[in-house]
Amino acid sequence: MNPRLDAPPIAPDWRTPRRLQSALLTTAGLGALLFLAGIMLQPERAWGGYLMGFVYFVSLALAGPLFLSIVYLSGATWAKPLLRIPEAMGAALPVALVLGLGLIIGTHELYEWSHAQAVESDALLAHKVPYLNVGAFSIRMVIYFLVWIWIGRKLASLSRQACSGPEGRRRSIAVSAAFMAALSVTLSLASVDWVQSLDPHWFSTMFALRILSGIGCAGMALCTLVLTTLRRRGTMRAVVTEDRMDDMGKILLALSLFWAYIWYCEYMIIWYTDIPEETGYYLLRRQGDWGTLLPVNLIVNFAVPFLAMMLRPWRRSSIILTRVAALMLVGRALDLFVMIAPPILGSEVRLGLWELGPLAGALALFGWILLRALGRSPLVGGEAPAAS
Amino acid sequence: MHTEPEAANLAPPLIGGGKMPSDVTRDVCGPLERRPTGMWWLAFAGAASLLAIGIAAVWYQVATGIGTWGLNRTVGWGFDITNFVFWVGIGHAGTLISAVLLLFRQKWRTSINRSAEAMTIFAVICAGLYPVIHMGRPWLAFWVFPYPNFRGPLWVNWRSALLWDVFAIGTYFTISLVFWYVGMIPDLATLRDRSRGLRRKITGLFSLGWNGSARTWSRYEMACVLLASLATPLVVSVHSVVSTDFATSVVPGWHTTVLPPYFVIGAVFSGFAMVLMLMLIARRVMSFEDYITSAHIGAMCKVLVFTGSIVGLAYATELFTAWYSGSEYEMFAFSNRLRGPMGWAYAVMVLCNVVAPQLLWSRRIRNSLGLVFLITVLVNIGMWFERFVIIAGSLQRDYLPSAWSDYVPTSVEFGALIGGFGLFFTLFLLFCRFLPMISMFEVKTVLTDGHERAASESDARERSVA
Repeated sequence: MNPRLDAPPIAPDWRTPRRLQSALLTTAGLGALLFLAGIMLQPERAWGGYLMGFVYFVSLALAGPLFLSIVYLSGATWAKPLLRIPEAMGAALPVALVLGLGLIIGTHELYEWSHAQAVESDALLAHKVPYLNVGAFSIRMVIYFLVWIWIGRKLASLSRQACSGPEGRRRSIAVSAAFMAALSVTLSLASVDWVQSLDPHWFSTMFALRILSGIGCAGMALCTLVLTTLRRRGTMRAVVTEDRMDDMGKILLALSLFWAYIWYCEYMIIWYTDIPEETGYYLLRRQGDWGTLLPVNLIVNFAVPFLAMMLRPWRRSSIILTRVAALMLVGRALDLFVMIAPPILGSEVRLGLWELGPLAGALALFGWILLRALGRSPLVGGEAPAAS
Repeated sequence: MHTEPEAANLAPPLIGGGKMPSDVTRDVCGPLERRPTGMWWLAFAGAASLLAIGIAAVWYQVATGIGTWGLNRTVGWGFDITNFVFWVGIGHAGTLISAVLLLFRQKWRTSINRSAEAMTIFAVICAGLYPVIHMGRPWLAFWVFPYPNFRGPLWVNWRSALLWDVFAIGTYFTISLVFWYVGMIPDLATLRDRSRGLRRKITGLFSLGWNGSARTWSRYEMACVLLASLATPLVVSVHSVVSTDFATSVVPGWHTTVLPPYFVIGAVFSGFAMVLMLMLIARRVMSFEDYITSAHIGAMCKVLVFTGSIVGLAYATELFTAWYSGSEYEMFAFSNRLRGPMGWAYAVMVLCNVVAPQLLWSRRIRNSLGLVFLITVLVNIGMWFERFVIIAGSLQRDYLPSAWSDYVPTSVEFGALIGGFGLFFTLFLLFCRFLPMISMFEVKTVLTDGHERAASESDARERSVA
């Protein structure tokens, strides 16, 4: 019999580590407390941190169904035994909705377009009122999440039932295509709503792709991190072979390259053309210490992962792969910081408890949800990898 | 036994007709060793006539001057650059299918990669001609290269996107040509072994002494992987650089940050439409129905509907951002695009590129070859119009209303447009005549080894014994 068709042994020794879970929950709680204190003391900075945490949280949660739908649409068989992880990541979407509803309270602190006075004295903001107003912002937010949760749930349940055979495959492909179509429109708008409109005069048609490439990088880096950790604990060793790690390494390489491509195209075109409508965005981000962060961002998110993952032995080394994935997760936070913080903080870089507290809290909350969802079902199983 | 559900899990075979490896060689080499069919002569005569029209038009234009075109001081780029961008776009599918799908291990590419690569090369040749013609004095075209010369300060402008275009297209053409040729070496050796006389000498020369030993194969495969890795970034870079010809300007409608990926995805879209169109013709004319099956066509249709939807999303993003920007110039550029003198061209572009491919969501339409063919033709028309709308449409109405002008292409420009298609199809038909259209050695790796036929033969033997 073809050895690839043998069901991989279901790891019996996996138990959700209680201590880690309580540590994550404590961090989430501390983050929430810091955020509440921040609202009293430094509301703008606290809400900036909250927005970073929220966008990061949503990115990781969306990466789950996105990964699932790519796997089903491309007919990728190699990833089939690993799908419990993206399924679990998608389980965080309802909580992301709750965080999003929280964000609506903070619109006044974050977005200039929500100030009636600013709109009155600014013709451009007045022009955008039909789109940029708190009511429409909130309604759109709820719609995005309902669509994501609805299709994401369907996709995850199909994936969990491991629908094999032509009929099951066809259904998973249809739902995946629906998710992609819905995500393309909703994410394009959401990226304008949540992040781009922080600089309310600025616009860039590339922006949604910057958010999307970030979702890809962060999501796959987290998947890789979970896989290598499980492998080191002896779980899933049968599935997470060196070849799988090699595959994940190649994906990280490709995604970091994609992120850099998108980043560079936008930056280069705006720098080259140098028209006042656009150039203010990077003018602010090249001043003072922000200007130092700009190349650091490129090194962390592109140069290091790209060069490290070029080498086959490094992709196959659990330690190096883990470190690169972790670095890309840090890089995601840095990239979001450079996107979100400058219009809030102005020309001075300030990174303190008010930013890091809510961000760390949101990430810890995500980790807690992920671990809980992973603990619910056997980590490996479902559809046997079909021989091609 | 639980073999049956597992069998249901297996992907259906890619090649029909229970082919054995020797059948593949016979089917692919056969047409090359026979005299050309009447159908081929007819097609060749048609393509060559189109090419003749093009040559006449370009000859007249070069002899007389660029004034024979409808360009004016406002619209400096018209049909010429539209054709250039269109053909560069067509040239994208070849490398995508060969290199990117190779890295993604999509085995269905094996039946179509050879002709897609050939198409890439011919399309890039067509593309490269237009800027040269546009120079007006094509005999000075070598001035685009930076080399030590006696022209004093007349030196290429490194800050211009146009110079990088020369490098991007040049690199792409070189790598595509090498990749195509190297990919053909084992098949050329097959041709050599089957032929005699002059043909044997020529194929023998180009197959570089291929002997099929394990060592040769091992080196060969290494070379292919290296070339694929070199070619993959080029798929993205070429059209990104072409897009900067427009995006780095301050012309509303040209300058937008999303233009590089927008151009790349449009190129993949149009390239796939062209490959699919040619494959639908080729499988019929060359009787390759068992090699280019409904599974191949279905897969390519899915790529079309995917890329077509992204193109639609890009159009929507442009419109939304034009409004959202609140910039007078942006808003005017797009209202002019929709309702200006070229509004009809925008409508054609949206109908062909966004609406038509959406039909391919339906399996019934994907299975109807006539409709698929029609959609691929529409997409090709639509993608030509997209470039026309962007290039000429945006230039027509610039910042100074006193400089506004209309653009009416002349018959000479139509002649050059027709000539491009003539050149492309002439080269493609010559390729079909002289080189193996399907990569034999790669198709042989995805055969199910004639399982079905072997089984039915052994059945017959058992029956005859009984």
